[in-house]
Amino acid sequence: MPNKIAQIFLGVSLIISLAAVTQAAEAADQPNAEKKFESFCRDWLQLKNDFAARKMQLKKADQGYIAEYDGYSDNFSTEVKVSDPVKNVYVGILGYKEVKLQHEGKTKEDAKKGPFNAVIKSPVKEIFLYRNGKWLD
Amino acid sequence: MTKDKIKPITYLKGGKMKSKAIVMMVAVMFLFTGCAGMSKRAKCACVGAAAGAAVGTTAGLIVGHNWHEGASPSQRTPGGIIGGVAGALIGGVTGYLVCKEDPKPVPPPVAAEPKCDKIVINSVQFDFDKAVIKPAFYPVLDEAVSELQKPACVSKSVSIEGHTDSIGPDAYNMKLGAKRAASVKNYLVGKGIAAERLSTQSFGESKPIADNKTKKGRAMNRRVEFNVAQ
Repeated sequence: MPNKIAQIFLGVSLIISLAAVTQAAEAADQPNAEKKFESFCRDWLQLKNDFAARKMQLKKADQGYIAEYDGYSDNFSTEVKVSDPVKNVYVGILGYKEVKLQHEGKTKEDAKKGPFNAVIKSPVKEIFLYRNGKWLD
Repeated sequence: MTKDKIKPITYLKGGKMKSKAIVMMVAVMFLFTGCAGMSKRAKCACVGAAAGAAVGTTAGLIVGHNWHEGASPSQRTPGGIIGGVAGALIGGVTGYLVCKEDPKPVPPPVAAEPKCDKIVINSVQFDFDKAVIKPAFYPVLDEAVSELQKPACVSKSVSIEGHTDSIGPDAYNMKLGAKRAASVKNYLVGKGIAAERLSTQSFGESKPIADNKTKKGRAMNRRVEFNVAQ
């Protein structure tokens, strides 16, 4: 009988230890997830902007040309929420603006070079998932 | 000039001249009362002009009387007029320069109606050629639900738009996009979003946001967007 009590005690201790380790891992992973999300979002928007710039259009203006395309704001906000603390699942919200980017130049090449003025069209929130130590795209 | 020659009161007692002086004073009084309802700076200029006119008229009448002692009344009159006009000008300009315009009242800030953001979900990665949402990705949809239930969005209709990558024929991707949008709609309705608020639409592969030549680009293109009617 004392042997059985010892076994139960050992089992309970193991479960508590496991829970503590999981909590510690979660506490350690949240800042990591937040840090990763920042650079993930920067890369994400960069990719989208690069692709959007490929669809640039040129219009004839009074004194040259206007280059314009629909892109995304450089400024963005991020927020990371805990979804499943045991499995280290987080949800990340990326906030930015859809913008129309325009630049006028004397020649087509000048117009394409920029710098582009951004006119805000609408705010956007993109929602991402963090699992197995990485943000999923 | 001797002391007894300066008799403004006596002068004002004169018949025709007395009535002219009264007319001028009444005009000055009108000028004073006309200043009501003006802006601060204009009022200062107006009051200054009226005061200047009053002082100038009086001074002009006295000086005119004394200079033209013995002259006919018509010869004395210009003194009052010139004094009045000069006084009004000096008083008006001084009043205008001394007073500053009241700052324009700032209208109270109008509370901007909160906007409901467009929502894009990428992490709900439908498997290639599938429209079934994997339970692992429910947290992303749950977050979308909570966004759509915010006060700014709760009464607005939402278009759920399905997008695919470019693998496969256009027509097939159109159907796939529609199925994915419908799957998401069903999930949202199951979470309490009114079905009447939701409509679905497929754009297939027609609106890529990234390069379909790369694996990452294709993953980015497989997405669902929630466009909220503002």
